[in-house]
Amino acid sequence: MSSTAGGASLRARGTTLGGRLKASAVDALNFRAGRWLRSSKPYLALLGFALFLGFWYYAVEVARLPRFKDLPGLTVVVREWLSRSPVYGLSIFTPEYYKHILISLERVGWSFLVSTLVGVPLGLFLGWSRTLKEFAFPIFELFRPIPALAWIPMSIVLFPSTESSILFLTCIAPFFATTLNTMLGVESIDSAYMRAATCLGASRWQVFRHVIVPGAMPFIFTGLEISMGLCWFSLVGGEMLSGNYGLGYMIIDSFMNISYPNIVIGMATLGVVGYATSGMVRILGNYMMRWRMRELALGGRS
Amino acid sequence: MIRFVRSNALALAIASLLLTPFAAQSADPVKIIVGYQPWFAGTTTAIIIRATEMWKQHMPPGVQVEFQASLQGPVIINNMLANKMQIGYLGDMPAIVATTKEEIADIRMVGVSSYSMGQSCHLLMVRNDAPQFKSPQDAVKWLDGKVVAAPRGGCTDLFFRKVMKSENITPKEYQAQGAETIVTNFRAGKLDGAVLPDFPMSYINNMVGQGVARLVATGFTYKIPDAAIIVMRKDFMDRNPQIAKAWLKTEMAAQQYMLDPKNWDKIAEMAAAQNQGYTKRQTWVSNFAALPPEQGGGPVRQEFRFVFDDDVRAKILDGYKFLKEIKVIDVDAPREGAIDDRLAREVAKEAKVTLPLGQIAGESIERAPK
Repeated sequence: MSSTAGGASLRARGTTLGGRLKASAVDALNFRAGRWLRSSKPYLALLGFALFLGFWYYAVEVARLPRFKDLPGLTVVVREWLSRSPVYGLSIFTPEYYKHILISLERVGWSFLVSTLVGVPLGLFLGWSRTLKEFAFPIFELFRPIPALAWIPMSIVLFPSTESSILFLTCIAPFFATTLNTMLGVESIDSAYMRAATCLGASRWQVFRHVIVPGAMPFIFTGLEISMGLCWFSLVGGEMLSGNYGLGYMIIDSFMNISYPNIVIGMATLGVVGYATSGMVRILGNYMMRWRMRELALGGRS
Repeated sequence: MIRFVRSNALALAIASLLLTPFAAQSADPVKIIVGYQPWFAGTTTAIIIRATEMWKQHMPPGVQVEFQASLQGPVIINNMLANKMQIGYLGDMPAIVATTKEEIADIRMVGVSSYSMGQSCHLLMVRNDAPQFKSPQDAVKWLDGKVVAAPRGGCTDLFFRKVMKSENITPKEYQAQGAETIVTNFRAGKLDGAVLPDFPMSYINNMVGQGVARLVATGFTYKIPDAAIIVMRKDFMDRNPQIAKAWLKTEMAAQQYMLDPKNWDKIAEMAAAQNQGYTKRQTWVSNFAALPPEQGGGPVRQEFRFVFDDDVRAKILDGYKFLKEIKVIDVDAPREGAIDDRLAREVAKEAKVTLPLGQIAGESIERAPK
């Protein structure tokens, strides 16, 4: 047993395998957090936000620059956002605000899941099978540039419920991003690996499972990170159909009622929640591709 | 110096862009931009003025007028706040909202383009396969526990909320949707009821429209009036009083034009030309047909009050209270100057006309052009 503080910590948590793994994960997390705090990253990020907010305050409320002076000011938005009795009915103290967030989170969650479950396998097969690609890719590319807003009337007619129409509209852009990135990931794999695996006796299925899928993972997770952002991006268009709740609905409703502070509150909330969910996808990707992180670390690029 | 400029060209360009005052795109007094919603029967006078170029007869020489059609009132309001439009034709609720943004721009209600006892904007429809009702009130009660939609914060929303209270009904879902989404949802069978203004009501009803819904009650059923309002920026009025007054003269002329039945077919044609997909028959019915009494039709289809008389003021004051209640605005009464019909009253006095200018009683649908 180690006589260091870390070893003492391990002993304190017992000598079971589960206990040792838990202790090791907590220590790793502490180590990473400490290293992050000792680096310049958090402070540069804070500086970036401070500059942005400072510019917003200066341009709108101090200098009242042309075209900026009619925008809602930083202090107006913050006052409304933090008010116990907000003028336009929404703030961190109103339950409706959280209902908007939770409903949008649910919709984005389902849209992300559906676009991933459909887009990843489709992308893998499009990259792997030339015949399928020649058959399906032209029509895929034809539909890809069509924005979600153009699909609104069709989605209302095609789908049985308003919620399914909203999910469809939110899924479209992320589906295309996921599929395309996955396909490109497969195509980026050096064919020598596949030939080598075949020479060593691997079946087509084994090549697919042990070479294609892991080889495409970096592209797949890049696509998923983009896809998560696109889910939020598309949500506003999709929630035009909502009729009652959701961050996108909140923004459109605020526009219809010329409630500028609420528009900004909605946008900022969407940005924060979107940033957090994209971060979760990134962390999941790093975890699932630990082998790649190790390789990058060995190459001095961690 | 030259090296400094070259290496910092991008930063200098951005700084000069921010620090140089932009010329207001539409502050030029010779060109004015008018926003209107061509699909709303209450603002048909704007359609007439545009189609006939009636403004040329009243405007001082050198004035150019550009019309911009908008799908929604808020788009007009946003453009007016950004000084990209000077005159707007709005429904009563958006007009009220426009007057509450004085910290950005002082927008005022200056004239009334249409007024009715709920025959233009308070049109309650149900899906076509709904049961036949003995009365409009029965139809409203049927909506208890059903899915209903109306654009939030608009005249349609105000009407339905009052009706819900009056009949003590609670829909299963009351969704805020735009008119175009409501029309598609009716077609897809996802709505049981909705409140729409005309022309969309005539577009989808089973009288002259596509037959996806039918009219069952109106504002007349509950004596809830609706109105369409002309708004102007105060700075525009102050800088160009002659132009502002000339516009109101044009508006009066358009209302008088509309009161003459000889012009109705032509007006319906103008409205159809400015609304893709609508027929002349539908736009005629929207403006001039008497709605069936068993479906909430009243004896008068439209009135041209022109100024804010007692009835219109009462309607507007009620609108402020409603919008404050649903937290769209933060005041429950108009500020000083929000209702400013001095110029309109001057125009009426100089023209020696009696107000209201007149009313359209509503003709039989059989007279509508085929």
